[in-house]
Amino acid sequence: MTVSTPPATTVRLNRLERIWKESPGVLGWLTTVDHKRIGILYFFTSLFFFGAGGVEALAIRTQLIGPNQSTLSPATFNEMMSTHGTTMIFFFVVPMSLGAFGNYLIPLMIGARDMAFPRLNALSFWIYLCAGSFLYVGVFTGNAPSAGWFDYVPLASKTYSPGPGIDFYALSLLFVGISTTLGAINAIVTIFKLRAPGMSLNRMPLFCFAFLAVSFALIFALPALSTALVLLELERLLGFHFFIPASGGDPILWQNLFWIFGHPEVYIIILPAFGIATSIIPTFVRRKMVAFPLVALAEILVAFLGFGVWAHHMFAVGLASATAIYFAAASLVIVIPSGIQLFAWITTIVTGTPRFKTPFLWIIGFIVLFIMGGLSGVTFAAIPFDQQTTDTYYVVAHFHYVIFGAAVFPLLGGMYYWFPKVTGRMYYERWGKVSFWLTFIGTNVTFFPMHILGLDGMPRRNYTYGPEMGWTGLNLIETLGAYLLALGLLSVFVNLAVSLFRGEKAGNDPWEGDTLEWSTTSPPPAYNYAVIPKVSSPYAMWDKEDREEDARNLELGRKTLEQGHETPASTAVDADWDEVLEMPSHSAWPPLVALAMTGVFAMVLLQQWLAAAVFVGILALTVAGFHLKEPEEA
Amino acid sequence: MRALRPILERIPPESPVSPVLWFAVLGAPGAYAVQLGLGYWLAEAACSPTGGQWGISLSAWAIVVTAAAALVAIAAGLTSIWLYRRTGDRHKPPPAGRIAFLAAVGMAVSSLFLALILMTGVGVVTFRVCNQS
Amino acid sequence: MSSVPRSMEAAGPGPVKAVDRQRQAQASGWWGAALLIATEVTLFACLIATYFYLRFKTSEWPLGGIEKPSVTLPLVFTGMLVATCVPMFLSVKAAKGGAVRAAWSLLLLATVVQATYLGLQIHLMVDDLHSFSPQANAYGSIYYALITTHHAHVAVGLAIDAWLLWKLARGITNYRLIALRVAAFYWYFVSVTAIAVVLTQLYPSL
Repeated sequence: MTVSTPPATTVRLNRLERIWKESPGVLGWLTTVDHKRIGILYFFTSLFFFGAGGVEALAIRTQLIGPNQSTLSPATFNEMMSTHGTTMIFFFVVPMSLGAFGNYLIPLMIGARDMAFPRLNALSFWIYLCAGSFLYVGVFTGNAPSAGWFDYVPLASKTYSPGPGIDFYALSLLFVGISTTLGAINAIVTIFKLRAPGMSLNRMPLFCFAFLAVSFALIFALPALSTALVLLELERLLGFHFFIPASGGDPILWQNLFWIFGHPEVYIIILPAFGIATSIIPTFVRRKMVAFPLVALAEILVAFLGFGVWAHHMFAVGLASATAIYFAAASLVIVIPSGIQLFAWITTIVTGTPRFKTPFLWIIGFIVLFIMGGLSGVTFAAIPFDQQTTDTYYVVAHFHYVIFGAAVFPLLGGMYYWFPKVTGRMYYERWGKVSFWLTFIGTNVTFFPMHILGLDGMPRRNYTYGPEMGWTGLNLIETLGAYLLALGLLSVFVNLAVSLFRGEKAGNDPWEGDTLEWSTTSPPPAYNYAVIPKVSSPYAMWDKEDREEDARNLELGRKTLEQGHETPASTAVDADWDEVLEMPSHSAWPPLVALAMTGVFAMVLLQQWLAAAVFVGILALTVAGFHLKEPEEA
Repeated sequence: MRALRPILERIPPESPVSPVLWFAVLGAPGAYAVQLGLGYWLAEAACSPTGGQWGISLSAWAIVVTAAAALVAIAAGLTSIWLYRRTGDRHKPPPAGRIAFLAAVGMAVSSLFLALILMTGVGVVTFRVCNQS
Repeated sequence: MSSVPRSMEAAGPGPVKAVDRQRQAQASGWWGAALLIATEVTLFACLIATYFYLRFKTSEWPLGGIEKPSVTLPLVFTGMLVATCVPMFLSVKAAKGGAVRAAWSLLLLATVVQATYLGLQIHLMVDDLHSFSPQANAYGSIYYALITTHHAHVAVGLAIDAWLLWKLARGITNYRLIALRVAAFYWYFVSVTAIAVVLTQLYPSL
């Protein structure tokens, strides 16, 4: 914008650069608490798990390419199916959404310099890495879980799964649950407290509403899963009785607890995608989002109503009508907020001037796939229909359309959209479009025939089928589709990888974006904002007078907070400036706490109770280490 | 609205912790949550071996709980409408803009949850309760 | 803008009191603790729901001829724990007002009573273990799972108290005041869940 930078500004920027400088080298990355670096760590780690889950998926599809194949034994198939689901849900999609996108973008979108609890942020990452590794130690030592991602008892009980596979599953999920809970708390407090002064709730970007909704859903859903997993492990390792009818237990107890978590979890998976879509659409149609308050409400409502529908996963287990009705009604009504968002997005697109660049293509693909997945989903609200299609490929079709089509497409679109901001380079546009079409076509070829197979009666979670069933042709098509899909995804990542080194330099704002992150350099400086931005609407970048005022403030040294590692804190609802916070810089405690926690879980798995108690003590000491240095001593 | 006057005098909607404002937004979802929680537990209890002996009349409870929840949702909706008409424009700076925004949200939320509360209530009363679905 | 405090720099009773008075919203640390407490409340809700879910599946409760729990001592001990909310509340009030020594002494009083509570409850639990084990049946399992979870939360609270006693002996800062408020909040939550847990535990006898 300005051709030459005034000397006073340069001095200020240099001072901020010095204060916020990241340590170099590997040690710098190990001890970082900067939200952008942590976002990048999450990004690459979740990509690794995406790859692992993808390999598992391809193994499943290869086994099912024709009838009576023996590529995988029945036991191995069950393991592949279980680890595919578990990995994709817990170790790819949620960490990628919340950990990578959320961490990197939330502070930038609200005009803050970091998350509310930077060291806790780092801790969340290291716990996630340790938990994912924990599960895969099980997988690579021949102890993969094999009772599905939903792990129903009695199959998952000691009697029918005597090996440690289920223990790896349960403990790694308890472990990663800690990371996700801490991440959710961090996101909520950041969004409530660290918004730039003036960014009241009605001026907050819709992206932040989505992440606020996700985080609240996680806070209330994860404890249900933790309860279920702890009860399961108490039964498996210490002989307690919760799920065995002969001793007064009930296997349906597991299902209830699991799905009280499990249903909100699937909305947790999709809400960040809604947030990303609502960020990308206004930019590429150059128009503000239609019905802003309703879209914000819809995002929160989906999270809230998600808690009222869990037993629709149990319509075939013999619930009383009186119980089931509650969930049928809520499952019908939950379509409405999704519908509100869809109509708002479509109206915004149709009444704007679209530019069909790669990120926008992914969002259009998302809208198409979400409509299809949503339509098959709402059919399950009708109990009689659900009871016919439960455990068939119809269900597999539905959830892959919503989880892959509707949750992952915006993630891929978001990668393209924010690639210039994070790396400072542009990707190759034509290759980007090709990668979209390969993936979109691959997705439909793989998952659409599953609706037909399901209605034709093909059961899910079966390692093979007979040639007389008439399912051979469609299964072959699906497997070919899966390979095409894999090729599409590969082309996405190769494009991004090559562009990282060879792409053209991108400026600060190649898209004329609407939210604050486009006002920084690409990549952003360590301190994000030299001046705490002035905010008058959710589309801060389109308010030119405010951005000009920021430039003037920078020159005059107003709202620059250069006395230390500082960021402002505001009131939760109206964002009145309340105090100036001193943020921590590097710390070695997060990885140490994560290691101590790993020790605890490992000893519990091995049933070495004394050693586990010792590690709990070490854990307590490392947590105390976190609090040794207080902010003013930093 | 006269009933709200004493509360409004003490804590006006301009305050971020205004009970009237947050009732408008959260009243209907809260009522639904109570209907779900209470209703689910009553259904589980009434249809179980033990609870069956206690003679819980599920239909009677369903009518009572649904009616109460519906009344709360209607009250929240009316409060939202009133607040919105007072303030109007969500593009104004806070607190006026924030109040209008939350009031618009409250109107939408209350209508949706009223529909859900009524649908659920009708369903529970219509079907033969403890039969397996 | 110059009136916005740099809160973290506040050290000593006077500045800390001023910062606390000036702050309009709750501190970040308080919010974080509130959300963590929300997850723990949900955890206890799930455990108590599990207890009643299992209870409604059978006509006999407790199962397997286990004796109904005795009511008096658990209720008395719970009353003891709930009573410590008073010194915790007064400790925070004293610290906010700059009376650090008083705050420290009240915290010590609360800690001693809370530790005694835990010791007595563990003693009761060991007694229970002599009559029935968690591996006996679902009643035993959920009974011990519920009360052990509660005891674990009390133990964590005692660790927080110990750390705070050590820190506050060295004076007060804005950070330590927020920590004290968080500790008090945590004990209010533990007290409320103690009431819910003991009522559930004693339900067959009530």
